[in-house]
Amino acid sequence: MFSLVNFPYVVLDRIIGYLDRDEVATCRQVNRFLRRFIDANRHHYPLPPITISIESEKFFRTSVAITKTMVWTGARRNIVLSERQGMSMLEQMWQAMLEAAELEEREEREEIEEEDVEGNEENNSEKVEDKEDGKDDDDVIEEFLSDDDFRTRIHSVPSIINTTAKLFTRIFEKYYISVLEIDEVGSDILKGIASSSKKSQQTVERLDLNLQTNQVFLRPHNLKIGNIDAKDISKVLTLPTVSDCFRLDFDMDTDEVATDAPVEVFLSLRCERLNLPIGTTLNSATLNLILKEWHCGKRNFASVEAWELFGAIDFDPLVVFDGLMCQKFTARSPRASLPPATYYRISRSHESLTVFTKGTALLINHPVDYMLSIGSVFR
Amino acid sequence: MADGPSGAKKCRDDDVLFRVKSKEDREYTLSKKAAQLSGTIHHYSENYGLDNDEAIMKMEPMSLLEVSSESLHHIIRWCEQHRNCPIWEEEKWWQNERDAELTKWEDEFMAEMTSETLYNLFLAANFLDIKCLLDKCAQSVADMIKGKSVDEIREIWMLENDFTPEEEEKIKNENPWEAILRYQEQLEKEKEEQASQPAASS
Repeated sequence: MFSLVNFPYVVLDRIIGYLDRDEVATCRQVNRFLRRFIDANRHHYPLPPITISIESEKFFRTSVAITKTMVWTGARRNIVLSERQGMSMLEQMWQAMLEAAELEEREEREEIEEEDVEGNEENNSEKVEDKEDGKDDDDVIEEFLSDDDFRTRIHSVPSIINTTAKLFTRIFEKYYISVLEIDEVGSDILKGIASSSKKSQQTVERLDLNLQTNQVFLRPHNLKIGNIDAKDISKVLTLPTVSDCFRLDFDMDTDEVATDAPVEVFLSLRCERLNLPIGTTLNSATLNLILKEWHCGKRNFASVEAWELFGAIDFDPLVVFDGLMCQKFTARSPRASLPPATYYRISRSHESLTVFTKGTALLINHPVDYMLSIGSVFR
Repeated sequence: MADGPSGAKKCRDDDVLFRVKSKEDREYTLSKKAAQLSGTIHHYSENYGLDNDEAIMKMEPMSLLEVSSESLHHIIRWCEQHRNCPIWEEEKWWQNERDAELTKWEDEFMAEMTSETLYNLFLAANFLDIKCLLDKCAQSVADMIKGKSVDEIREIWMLENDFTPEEEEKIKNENPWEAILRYQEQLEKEKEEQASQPAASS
């Protein structure tokens, strides 16, 4: 029958390739099949493309640490770093910021002491002049973001906390982050983020600040990524499979696996595909279905925290769940750079698997709302 | 020159004739040059040693079980008209500036097609891997979509609206690429600014 939906996919793809952005959008409204087809193949079409940059896409799957690194390196120079590299760089950066803060504080103290002792008016006037000649915070941040050598730039930042807050805000805006959970960064920074974000109402549509739970909800832009399938991400990244997008460090001796936390994303995407709303309690059949898809001949591999977030399970120290034995335990992180943390081990028969630290896992409770726990990164 | 049951082994400009058979078992011939526009025939020739005129003249007709006689007739017309164009491997040559007469002929050729014929021709071109024809068909079908409303597209293509009213409303108002697009535009803008900086300074 002569119908658009009866064409072979390759042919349909070619037809839609001739449509412009608006026409593709119109076709997307025709029926479910066309909508799914267009969403799955939209990176083929000239407009609108789905060429999410590796940097921003990578962010969704890893952590703010990597994104921050990419802001300085990847986004500017098109370099993609591994999570390990990203973590390391973030730690260095954070250390540098703390040192700079201490240095700034010390300098200020010394200046005050000097002023007290000498009562030097000239010195005072120079100080005022410096401040007037100095660039405003936004300029400084712009330089900061565009300059790899943050260790030197940091010294010109007037207020570490304020700048950090603004940096976060910029990063969120740049990478369309919607929900951020900050464990131990401190309420000052949260306040800073709030005030700084409120100033840019044009891009940040909504901001809720909950100091009690240390959560910041940002709703920048109009990001919808609910229709991006795991398969599409791999296409976007021009990698053969999703699993190839992620780094897996498997330690044969300890049976531990460190990963860039793809499972949460995977679960989230699968749940989205299964039309499971936020807070759905996943039954064992659904979970197994999801896990089966994920396993695909690989090692058993799953994240408990993502399930917890879906409201699925309250994990006891030991839970047997449809053949999945979930064991909660505390252990040293496979990543030497991170402190000991709570891990979850999930086993099926004799195979073993993995595990995420509470602090580093990327937790997602809705494709649009990303919850990112970065507490341990900053410890 | 080429369609219809075959008796001749060579066409008038001395090119050897390639024999093909439709799914209705009707035999057709087309010149070797024209046949080379098809990736499927090209591979068939390679696999069956049809690399010289003598072998082609002795060949059994190639069965095209997916292609109806009507479609094959149109395919052969198209290929013969394009027989002097580069062969199938050379991607996208047809998108370059080319003979106005040929373009006019193509437009007339497409205008002759009914929806049903066009659909079958498209499938046949896909099966035979004739890229220039595939693209022309895609363009023609896309032209049928251009400027149409959602309801019109549903009507033309006999598609059922299987969205719920809520979904429909949501889809109307969403643009899933908006943010990504904005991000890209921003990146492009940054790139342009960066590119213009050295020029401005020099």
